[in-house]
Amino acid sequence: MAVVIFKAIEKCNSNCIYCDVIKKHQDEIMNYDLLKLIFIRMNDYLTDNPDENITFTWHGGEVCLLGPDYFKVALKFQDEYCSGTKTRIEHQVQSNLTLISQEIIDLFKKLGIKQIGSSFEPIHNIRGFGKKRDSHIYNRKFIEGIKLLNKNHFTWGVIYVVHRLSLKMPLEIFYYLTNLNTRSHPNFNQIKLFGEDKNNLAITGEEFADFLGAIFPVWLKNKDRYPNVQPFSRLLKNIKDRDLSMVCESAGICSHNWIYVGPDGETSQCGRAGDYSVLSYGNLINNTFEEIMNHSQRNQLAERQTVLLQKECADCRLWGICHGGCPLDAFMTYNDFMKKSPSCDATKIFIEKYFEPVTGLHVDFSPKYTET
Amino acid sequence: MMDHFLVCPFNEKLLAKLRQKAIVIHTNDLNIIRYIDKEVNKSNKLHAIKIQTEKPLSAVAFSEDWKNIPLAIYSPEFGIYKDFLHQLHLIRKLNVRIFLSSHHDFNFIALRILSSLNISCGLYFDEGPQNWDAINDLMHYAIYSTTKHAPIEPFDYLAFHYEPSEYTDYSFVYFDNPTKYLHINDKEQIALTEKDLLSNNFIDEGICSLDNISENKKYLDFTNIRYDIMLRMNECAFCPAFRICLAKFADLDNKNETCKIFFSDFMDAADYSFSRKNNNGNQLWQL
Repeated sequence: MAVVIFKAIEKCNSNCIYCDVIKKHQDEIMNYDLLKLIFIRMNDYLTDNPDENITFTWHGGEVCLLGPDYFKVALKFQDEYCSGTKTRIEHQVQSNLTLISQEIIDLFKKLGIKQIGSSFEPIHNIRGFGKKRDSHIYNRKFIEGIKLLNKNHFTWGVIYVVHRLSLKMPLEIFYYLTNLNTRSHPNFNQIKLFGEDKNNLAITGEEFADFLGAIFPVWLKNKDRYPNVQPFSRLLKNIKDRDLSMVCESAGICSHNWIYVGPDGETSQCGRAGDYSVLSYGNLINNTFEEIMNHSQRNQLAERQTVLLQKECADCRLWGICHGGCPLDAFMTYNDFMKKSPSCDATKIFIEKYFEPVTGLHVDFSPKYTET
Repeated sequence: MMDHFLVCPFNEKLLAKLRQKAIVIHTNDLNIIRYIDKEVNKSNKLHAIKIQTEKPLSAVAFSEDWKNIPLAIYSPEFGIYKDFLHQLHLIRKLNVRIFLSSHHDFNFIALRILSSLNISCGLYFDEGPQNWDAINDLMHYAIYSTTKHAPIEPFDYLAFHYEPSEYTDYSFVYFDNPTKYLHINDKEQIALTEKDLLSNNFIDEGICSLDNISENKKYLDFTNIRYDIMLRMNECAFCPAFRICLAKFADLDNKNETCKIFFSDFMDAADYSFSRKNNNGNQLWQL
């Protein structure tokens, strides 16, 4: 399955403190010729690969800034240029929900979208509008957005970015987010800051592990009440059931199935690679999906698994649930894709300090075990 | 067409304007119970009569005449056990649920007694400070006790209706959630809750406006009220038990010592009941 991270717009109405996309100050919106081309490219790819599907993720910036007309045109192009393959295109959306409208929701429905990924922050002035990051207005708009989604029977979930200010109140944040949405539970991610940390928000892997560790016993005791809190639920499944379905950064198989497409048609490995402007795979105008999918630079990401197994991760008992972590993290930290991600520290500390003592389970996913 | 239950005083003029509605009559007149039943059922459907009496329960003169009439009796205190016993045989024949106030300490024992006598009963929360320890004890008895006993509300309601991925409001047992019950007075003024009705906080007026009540802005706002609480970001928004309490005690000062402890335990009990229902009685703690 190919995953397209589609950023027709990288501009945003919000000024979230940790966002890498808005730092690019990219105001361009993908023009309709390019939008048409992407559907043509997807159709060609799906026609040539009859067993393949595409997950097409509308990402940004803020996608709702595109306005309803943009989605109408996308629908038209999909009908025109993917008439035989559109059933194999699954649309997904990531939005901050502050600009969502009934008209846009109706168009999302036509694209087959029934759920929306978002983010939320109960701590003030982290996510918000304008220079001062006005979170009061932002939060009110967000709530209006989720009321509208609920009215339309859409499901929605949030990613929570853990930063320095979150460390003081892990359980409060956990309860707040699970109270806000009882059906779909939060996904906790460590803040990624590369370069200057102007606002002193960066945290170490150990701090992130401690944040998770403060929540984990409560979650475990009440896991029927909060079934899908991540990374807990996934890790428990990985470890207890030896079910190795994972998110991109720990699956170790991202090399040949992700594509980022930016507003100008430039492509790259994934959303984060696009945000950091690394791993460029050329422009959509001059390259087919097949060419982009098989770009020679991708081979180094595939080889990374072998290199890590021979070196840094050779004896790691967590290999099977981590696979060295996200190559982008490694590159942004060490300027080398072939290193393991610094987020491995967080995983290791969390497993050893919290997961194993609390659950009583012993984790052995060493390379030797995984091979057998 | 709306399908709300209407909670109103016994007013024949008002009832005459209603047709085929489910009605909850509230009254403090114990002498007209049979009459209310007969009159309401002429053109509507009597859901229940809510009787608010100032008398202790033991002083209420239960009547053979009340048989088969759905009754919810709200009494401030249990009263004298001996007097109550004289009427036990009769009470057991009635379709009655007895509510006692949370402001009288003996009521917590009395509710256990009523429940163990297989009389459906419940606690109602009077305004002001609560005896949270006693409420918590009663909840534990109501949900965890394996001794055969009748339901004690609102605990039984929550244990039965709780679903972990939803918000659960136990106010239904008090006829007080506007998604099901709307309150209306003699002047046809409509309120979302009993408290709103008593404080003249109306959302609309006139029987005919009931048909479009689900489009009423204040009604819609109320159905989303939990989000306003989340926006205010007060203690309730960060409380582990918000999904079953829904900030009913938001005005309390020391929540960590009071409602938070009780409602957290209450939610554990609800989880326990849910797990028993869904795992054939076995709650698996093992990983």
